[in-house]
Amino acid sequence: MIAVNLGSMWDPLLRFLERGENLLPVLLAIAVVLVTGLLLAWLAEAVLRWILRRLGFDRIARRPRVSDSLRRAGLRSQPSDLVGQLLRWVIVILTLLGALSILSAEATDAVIGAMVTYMPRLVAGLLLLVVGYAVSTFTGRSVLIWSVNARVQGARWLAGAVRLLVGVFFAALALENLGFGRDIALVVLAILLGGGVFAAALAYGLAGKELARQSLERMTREAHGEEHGTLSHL
Amino acid sequence: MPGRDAGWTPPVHRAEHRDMSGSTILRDEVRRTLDTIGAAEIVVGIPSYNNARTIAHVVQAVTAGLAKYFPDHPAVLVNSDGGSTDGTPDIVAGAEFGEARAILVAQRSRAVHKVITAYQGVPGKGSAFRTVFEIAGRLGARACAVVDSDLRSITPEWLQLLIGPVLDEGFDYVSPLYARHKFDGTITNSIVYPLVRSLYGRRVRQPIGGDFGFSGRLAAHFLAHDVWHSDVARFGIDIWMTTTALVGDFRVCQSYLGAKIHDAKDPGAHLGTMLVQVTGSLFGQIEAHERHWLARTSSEAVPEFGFRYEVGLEPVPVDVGRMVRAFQQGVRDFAPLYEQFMDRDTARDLAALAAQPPETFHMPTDLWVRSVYGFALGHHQRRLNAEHLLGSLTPVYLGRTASWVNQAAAYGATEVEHELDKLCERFESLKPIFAKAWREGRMLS
Repeated sequence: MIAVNLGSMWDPLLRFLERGENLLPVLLAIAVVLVTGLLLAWLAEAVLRWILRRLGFDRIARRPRVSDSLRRAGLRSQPSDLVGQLLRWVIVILTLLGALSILSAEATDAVIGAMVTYMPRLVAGLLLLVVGYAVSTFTGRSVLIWSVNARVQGARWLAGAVRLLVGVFFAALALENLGFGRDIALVVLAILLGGGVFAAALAYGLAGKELARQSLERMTREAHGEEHGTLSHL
Repeated sequence: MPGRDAGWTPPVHRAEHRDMSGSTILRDEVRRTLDTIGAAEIVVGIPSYNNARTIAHVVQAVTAGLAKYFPDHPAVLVNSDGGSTDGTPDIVAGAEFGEARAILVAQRSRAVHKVITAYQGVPGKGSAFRTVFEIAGRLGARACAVVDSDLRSITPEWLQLLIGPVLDEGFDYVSPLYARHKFDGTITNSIVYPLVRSLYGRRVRQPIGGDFGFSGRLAAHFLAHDVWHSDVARFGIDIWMTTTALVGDFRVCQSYLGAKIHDAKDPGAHLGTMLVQVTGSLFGQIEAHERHWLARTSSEAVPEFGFRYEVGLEPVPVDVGRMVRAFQQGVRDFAPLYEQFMDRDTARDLAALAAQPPETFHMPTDLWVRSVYGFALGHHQRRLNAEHLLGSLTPVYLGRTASWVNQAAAYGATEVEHELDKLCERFESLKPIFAKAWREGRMLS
């Protein structure tokens, strides 16, 4: 009985080893491609960064208009680093696709096909995020300038809230465009807009009734004081 | 300085005086009126918009001034109106200088023609002035003046002081000098005058005074510029005229007019908006004329006319505490914005200043000068949206004003001017650093 059992175990094991024997070169090839690709990506990034620095690329990018655009986009790295990282990620993605093609040509074709199909929506989604970032920053700053100059207390909070709302709105648009998380984004937006504003109004008007009255009086007084101030500034 | 007819002859073949685009903004009926008038040696412009309460006094002062000081000079008064709904043009049409004997003048040998028109173009004082420039050109005027329509303190002598230097002394641009309360005109005193003086090298005390005299040649030069669809046409005309005269080949002087008292100010005129408009126009001009001012290293006085005297001005109550609170909130909440265009030391010193109490609040002169230069550089280098950058100036300006009110509490007129001179000298001393940063496209160091 033991001999029968050993025989029944041995056959699958042999089949597995045979498959492994066939698979091992494939896995090794994938490993070689991945390691080589990653090394190449790292090397290419380093070389490109070196070349760009030697060419004075960072100095060109320190020109006010370029550096302003980078700063506004929240990018604080050196421009040569950014370009190097971009190249590295392109090589990493190509390496992964290459490794996948060793495993299965059909799967690679499917992934590439899906990427090509999805690319326009991805680009549109990214574009929406970039526009949303710019619009939310601009709106937040406008609210900050107005509220500080109007002596509104908590101006930074107000500006931050407006920026968040605008940002979430654009994020919801981007997610809807990408085709997922639509409900979550809408719910978050509804909670922030409806619930948040309602809660803030209740908290300010009921719980802090006295505080609300005092601060509104102060704001009116301050505004009145400025508008009918005795100084002629010009 | 009585007005003399220095050989002026009416132009026989007047060219069509139009702007660079070749268009005219004068209405058909105005052109017909001008054809009827023919020529004039003096043109006085009064821009207006809903100034029914004050414009009669201004028109009376102008016509009386023309009668008293320029009785033999053909003159035209132009009311360039922005579409008033309170009957301002009707009041101009009906206003006369009244009983001639009361102001000790003989009956004018020539009548003062009035041209009353609603100006065309972008709504604003600049478009109103453009109409005056074009009319002056068509009539072949030798001397022009423009005066605000909300003035309560204008007298006939203003006409002599604004037009006389042009007709009799050959000047092209007459800037006003006023006696003002030491706490008034703080935007002019703290920003506009020091920058104009240090950058353009001419000590024009009231570059945005609003009441100016100028030659017909300069009026034609103004008209030749293509600025009539920009902020110049809306609100930046005063600083534009002054800087255009300063950087051009024109003789500039200033006349002491005495006290300047306006009608009660417009409650809608918010300080922040006003500051954005004035500094935006000023910085815009600085950019436009960088070749001119970068080369200048010192300033010189400009010739002055008029008899200086001190006027009794009522004390002005100022709420320093409110200004300091606005400064404190501003430097705290705007700190992330200041980081983007202001050098680290200036931003740090402003933040440190916020700890001072209102009673002893004092902003060091150098800190104010560096702040103004920092804003000008940030505006030039587009480090932030222009509206945002200029909007964030208000708290720093209020801090400077609060500091000035504390400092000048016991000052008389002489000490005030002495201190303003010292402020301007610091602007001039730090100009090389500013100019270097401007050329190299970086922050102040």
